[in-house]
Amino acid sequence: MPLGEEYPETREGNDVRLTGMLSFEKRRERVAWLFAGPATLLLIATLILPSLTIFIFALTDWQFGQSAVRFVGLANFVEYFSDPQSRQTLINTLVYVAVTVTGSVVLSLSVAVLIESLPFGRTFFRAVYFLPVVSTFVAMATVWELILHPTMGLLNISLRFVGLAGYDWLHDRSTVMPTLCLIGIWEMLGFNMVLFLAGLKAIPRDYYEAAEIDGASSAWSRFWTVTWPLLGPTTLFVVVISAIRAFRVFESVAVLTRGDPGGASDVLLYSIYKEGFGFLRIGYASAITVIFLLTLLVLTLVQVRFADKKVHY
Amino acid sequence: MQSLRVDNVRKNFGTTKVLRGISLDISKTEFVALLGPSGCGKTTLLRIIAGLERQDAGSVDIAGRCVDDLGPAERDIALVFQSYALYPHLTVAQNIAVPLVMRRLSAVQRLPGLSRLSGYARTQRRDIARDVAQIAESMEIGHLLDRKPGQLSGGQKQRVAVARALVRKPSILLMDEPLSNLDAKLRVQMRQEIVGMHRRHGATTVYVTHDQTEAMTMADRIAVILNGELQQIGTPAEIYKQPASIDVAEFVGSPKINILPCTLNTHGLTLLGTAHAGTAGLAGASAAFIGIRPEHVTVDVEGEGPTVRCKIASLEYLGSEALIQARVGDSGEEICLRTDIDVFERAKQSDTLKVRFSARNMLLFGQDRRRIDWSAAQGTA
Repeated sequence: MPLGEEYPETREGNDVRLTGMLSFEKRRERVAWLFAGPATLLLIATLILPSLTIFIFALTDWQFGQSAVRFVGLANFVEYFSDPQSRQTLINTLVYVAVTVTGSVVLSLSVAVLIESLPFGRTFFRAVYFLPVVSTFVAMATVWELILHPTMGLLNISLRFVGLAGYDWLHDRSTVMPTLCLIGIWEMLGFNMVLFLAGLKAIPRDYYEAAEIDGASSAWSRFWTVTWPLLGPTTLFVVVISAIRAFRVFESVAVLTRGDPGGASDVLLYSIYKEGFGFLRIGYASAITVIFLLTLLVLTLVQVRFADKKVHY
Repeated sequence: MQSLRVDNVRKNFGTTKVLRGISLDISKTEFVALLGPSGCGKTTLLRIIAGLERQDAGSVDIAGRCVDDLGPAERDIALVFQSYALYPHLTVAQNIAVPLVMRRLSAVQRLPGLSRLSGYARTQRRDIARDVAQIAESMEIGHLLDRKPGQLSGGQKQRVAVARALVRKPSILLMDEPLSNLDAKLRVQMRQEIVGMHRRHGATTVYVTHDQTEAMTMADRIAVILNGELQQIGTPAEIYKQPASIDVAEFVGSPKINILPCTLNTHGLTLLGTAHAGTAGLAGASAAFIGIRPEHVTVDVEGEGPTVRCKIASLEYLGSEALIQARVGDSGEEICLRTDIDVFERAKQSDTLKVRFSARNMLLFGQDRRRIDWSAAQGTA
């Protein structure tokens, strides 16, 4: 008989445990929020609020140091797009992105494939190409000044040596953007190369051997059968990263040309800097920042949407 | 007709001798398994035949033509990789078509969209599509042609890999442990499918495996490679019944063959410290070891061959049969018996057992671990 008598007691015991568990669930939730709290606050304070502020500033005429702030609606944007000088900065930026991304992706992939195929000296070449990435551009700009100087520059001296007339590369309307693009490619090459090298290493050797047996006997046909398609995800990543980096071009313009001659080398970020920190027109600078962010967003979305389907398998 | 001839091939990796002079002759439509433990050099040999690796010495002939200086593409071979190596970005149909596209179309003709402009390229593309469909049908993967390899199961990938290898009708089909990535059940099924495929297509096949069951069940002949040397080549029955050496005998067969030291000379057989007088059938032979497979150790009262009393060490029930491990006398030598369930039931009741080594099935090995051909030894007596 004792067995039957014992059941109610046990059930009671279970109930106690059940309520204990419910409150445990609640406690767990509270602890979870406690853990997530600091990160959430930081996220709001450092990322979300500043971005929101920029969007609000963009709708005002606020100038730094002025006490009166007026809400002007989209006037800043209208001003930007109706000013040919400003429009030029957007065009310059887009041209710069298109040229440097294409150039640096094609060149860095070629360099990576060549380095991978070397029998020796890989570490040396990897280090050399990576050099511009680890050195700060402002320091390296001096070297570019020396190379591109119209009279004493290495480039023009070399050109003169073979009987060609040089240019004032950084102060000629027709050469300043191409020159900046070249410098941009030089800057991005090393980083992209490292990404491609990692991508190349991840391709199993079996594929190359299978291709060789299948009849892809030349290195060229193996590249198109195996390397290029299998590097698809890497290439997409490199293109997106390069585009974002190219879009933020600033240092070379600020150090070498300051947007001259006559705005021919002005780019988005530099004009934000000029308006915001030079003329203290915070409202206008914010508007350009919004244009900058939106263009970047659209660019990235388009790339990912278009390419994602093609490169992943 | 000879299809593949490997002549005294050697290969070193640094100071490690991977292949120490291997010679093989394989005739047309034959299915030969290269069997050996991992690291024995069998895969290296396969890669040398494929042209992916270059031998240090010796030569390889395919269909009567020396291929030493030819690249893999010119050797008229196909290789099924252990990883299958299916191009992940191509559909099954495109994967199978690659060997044909590479051979039948030039680099320019391969450009996408060109078949719309060139009549020749269009005809070729149509022929390729027809050949792909045909081989896919025979491998029963016709319904998978539009899928990508990522959407296939292991067995389906395996079939696609074989189809890609066979579509070109190569003189030799090489397979590198093609079943090792499959689960046990599928492996048994694919074993039969590959044998069936071989029967249908008749391609000369060299099949690398470390799994003796695969080699025994699939191959016409097995080449046992141990330590970079070809130990023996023969039909599965020859390898099992007449192994060339103790090493081959121990590598093939599960559970492992019992090898016991003995002295056998004109005076008779001394086994495990006991002399066995009048061991009929062994007269005239001399040996340092005897080998006896677990299924040839019996508990029969009558029959020919020495008998030994031993202590039962462990019993393993396998359903249709059973394995008994037994220790002989004080010598510490263990022997394994494969018995039927009746004997197993009886053995469970006692702790000792009197076993008989079937004289007819006893293998004799000399001091050099090579097998002594017993009937020949008898003949000289």
